Amino acid sequence: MTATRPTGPRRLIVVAILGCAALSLGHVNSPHIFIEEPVGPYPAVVLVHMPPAIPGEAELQVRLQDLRPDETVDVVTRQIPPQGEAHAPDWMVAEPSPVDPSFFSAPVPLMVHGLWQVEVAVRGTRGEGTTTVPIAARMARPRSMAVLLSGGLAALILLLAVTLIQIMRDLGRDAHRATIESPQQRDIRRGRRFAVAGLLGYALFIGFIAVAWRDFDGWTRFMAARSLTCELTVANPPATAGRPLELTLHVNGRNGRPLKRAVADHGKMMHLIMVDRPDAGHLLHVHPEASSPGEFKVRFTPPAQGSYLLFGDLLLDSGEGDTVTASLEVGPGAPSDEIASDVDGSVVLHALLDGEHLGRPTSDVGDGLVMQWVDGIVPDLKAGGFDRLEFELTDGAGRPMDGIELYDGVAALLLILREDFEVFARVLPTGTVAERRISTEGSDRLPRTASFPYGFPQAGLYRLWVQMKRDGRVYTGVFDVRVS
Amino acid sequence: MIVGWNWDISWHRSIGRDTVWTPAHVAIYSALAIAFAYNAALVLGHTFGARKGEPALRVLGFAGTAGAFITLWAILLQFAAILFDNWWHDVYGLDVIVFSPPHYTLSVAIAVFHFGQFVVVASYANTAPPEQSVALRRILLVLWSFLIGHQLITDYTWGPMQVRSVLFMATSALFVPFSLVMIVEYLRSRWAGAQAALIYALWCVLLMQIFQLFPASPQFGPVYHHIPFLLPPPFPLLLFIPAAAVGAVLYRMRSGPSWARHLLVGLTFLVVFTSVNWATSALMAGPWGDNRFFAGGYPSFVYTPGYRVVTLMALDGRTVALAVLSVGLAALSSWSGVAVGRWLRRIVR
Repeated sequence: MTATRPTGPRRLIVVAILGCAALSLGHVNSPHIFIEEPVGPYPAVVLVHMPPAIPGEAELQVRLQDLRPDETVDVVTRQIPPQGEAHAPDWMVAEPSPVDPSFFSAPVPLMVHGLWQVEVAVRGTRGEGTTTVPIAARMARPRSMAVLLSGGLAALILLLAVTLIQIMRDLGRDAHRATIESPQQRDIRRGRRFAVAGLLGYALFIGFIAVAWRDFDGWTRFMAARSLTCELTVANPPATAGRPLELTLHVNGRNGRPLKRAVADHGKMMHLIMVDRPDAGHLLHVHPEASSPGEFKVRFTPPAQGSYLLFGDLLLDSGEGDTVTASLEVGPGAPSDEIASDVDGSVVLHALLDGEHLGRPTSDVGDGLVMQWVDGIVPDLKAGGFDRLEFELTDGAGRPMDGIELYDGVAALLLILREDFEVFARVLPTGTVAERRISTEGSDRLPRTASFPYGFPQAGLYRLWVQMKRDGRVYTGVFDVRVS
Repeated sequence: MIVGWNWDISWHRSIGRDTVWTPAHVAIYSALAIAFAYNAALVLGHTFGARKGEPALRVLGFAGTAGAFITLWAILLQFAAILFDNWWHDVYGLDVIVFSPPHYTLSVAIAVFHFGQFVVVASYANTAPPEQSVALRRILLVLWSFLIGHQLITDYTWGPMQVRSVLFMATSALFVPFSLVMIVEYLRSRWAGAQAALIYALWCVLLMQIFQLFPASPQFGPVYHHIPFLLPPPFPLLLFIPAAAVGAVLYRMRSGPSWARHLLVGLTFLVVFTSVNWATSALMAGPWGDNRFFAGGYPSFVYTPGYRVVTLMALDGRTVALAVLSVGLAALSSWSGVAVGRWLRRIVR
């Protein structure tokens, strides 16, 4: 990635400082990577579709934004494994799409676990540029076999057994007889012995395969489970609505010991998102303080009774992002306006999922302001693709507001949650990768339109929260969309 | 089939990344398609065609020869293994290890496939006119060398020194004497095992030299070794030496008790096989092996520099116990080789 220092009258606002080549904002079951940034002189969107398992082959896509029809460019990529640049294979040419010359794709085999860096270089008549996409290749928890496939394989195993018995029986009984006369008793007995021997060998083989499979699966599950873990404790129980709570999140690393490798992401040691289940009516975005290694404390007053799911986004010193989850049960009590001790905290009390916000392009955010989809249209969203989700903070007449301030170090923030709480993502205007450097050249103001590159990983009903800050206050728009 | 699988393994070791339609895969598909077409035609001919009514085996209402049914069964098993393997890749990831449950299944299916093709020719040879016997014998030796070559596809992770491991000794004792003894017994020739093993060595060396003519470079990392051509299969084990020894003992002991005969065959195999491997591994792992002919210094690009680390046999109680067990396994393997060889001689359907 390249960037230049501001010189002369032109101003370059660096709204996020690159500490290291960091990646992967918090996400749960939203593994694909989306980055929107210029690659040298070429504005581009870079996508990485992750494979279902590691080792596996990801697909890298590069979409050049404003390529003219008469322009010719080459896109090349190189994967740098966790072992370092010395062990990288050669550069590989990304293939242009036959229907869209501004769209390029290349395979990215991720054959070992760890943090990979994929270099993308674009060379053309405007010049050349390079960017680096960090990819965390982690062992995934194995999925179960689909019913259709398991049924098909079971049928094949049975068919193989039946045919093996018949083949072995005939090999023992008939194969040596040159005539078609009926077999003698001793032939029949030999045929039975052959069939039994064949079936026994087959059963032993299937048993061996089953044992080897079980052992490998157990090892994979054990390795996949070696992720960050989080335990939530309440220093002053009971947890009831309206009662200030002292929460501590105890985060252990993959070695099972308190996490020491967390570093600040946009100035915060943890971005904690709390949502009540099953309605997702309350959203709290707070920033616990790291009191000691692996311990993150926050003061929190539950706005209402219910079950809260907590998503804690962390950045590790390797540059790898991770999300821990925890849950909190809150009993009945008196409501309270106090939310959290964190100044950037925010809460939204809104209607239930699939309620009044479904398909609505606008969301009242208070102070007479409205958060809305750009052009007032909710786009047609499909799983597995790429979308640019664009929002504006407007006045009551639909005019975009100036004076947008940095919130969490960025111009806007998008939080995405599927109705079953199985998919969660925190997305920045630069995409799903943490600590990327973005710029607004030639302007001293943040853009009025918040644009997020993202692709929904699965179909379903999603709640989107868009957060922007103005006059020191965080405004949160709520949108419910159905992804087909 | 044998070219396709060796090519595919070489592709994985040299290039790494593969697709459904790599040339190696196409070679395997072609072999499977040809074998399926030929053997299915044999079955259909016996069931509905001109050979209807001739003596045949009957499976699921179809009639056919023993070799055809064995081969078709092996193809069905390969199909199941490939389905299993595709799912395995989706769930546990792409291949980084040679041995996984789907690969075990595939390996057994390929061995049965080679055996089935041998039986196809054997059942014909058993009733063929004498003037065809020399040609048929040569064909049978070549076919059997394919099975021997498949048996000796080993885990490349450990490099040339793996032949000095106890595990290699024990697994070889279980499978290899069967192949050497079976062909001796079937062809009634003490040198048949050595001849088949020599043919295996020759086509293996030929593949080694051909593969190295094609440029190749790794397409994923980490890359620990930069070798700019298609990696050859490892230099063949000099199996014809223990095969000759096994054949000689088998013939000399023909009149003795069966258990003593096979025990002596097992012991001979183990001593000669291990000694020969010990000597050749020293050659392969040293500077003499680091050239295009022996190809001892061509590890796959994915192997870390310590890839040759293997638990070598040591002269201790564990090794002695496993050696004794291996002699027993080899004797059992030899006995089954004789039994199958005799049975094969009688096959006419």
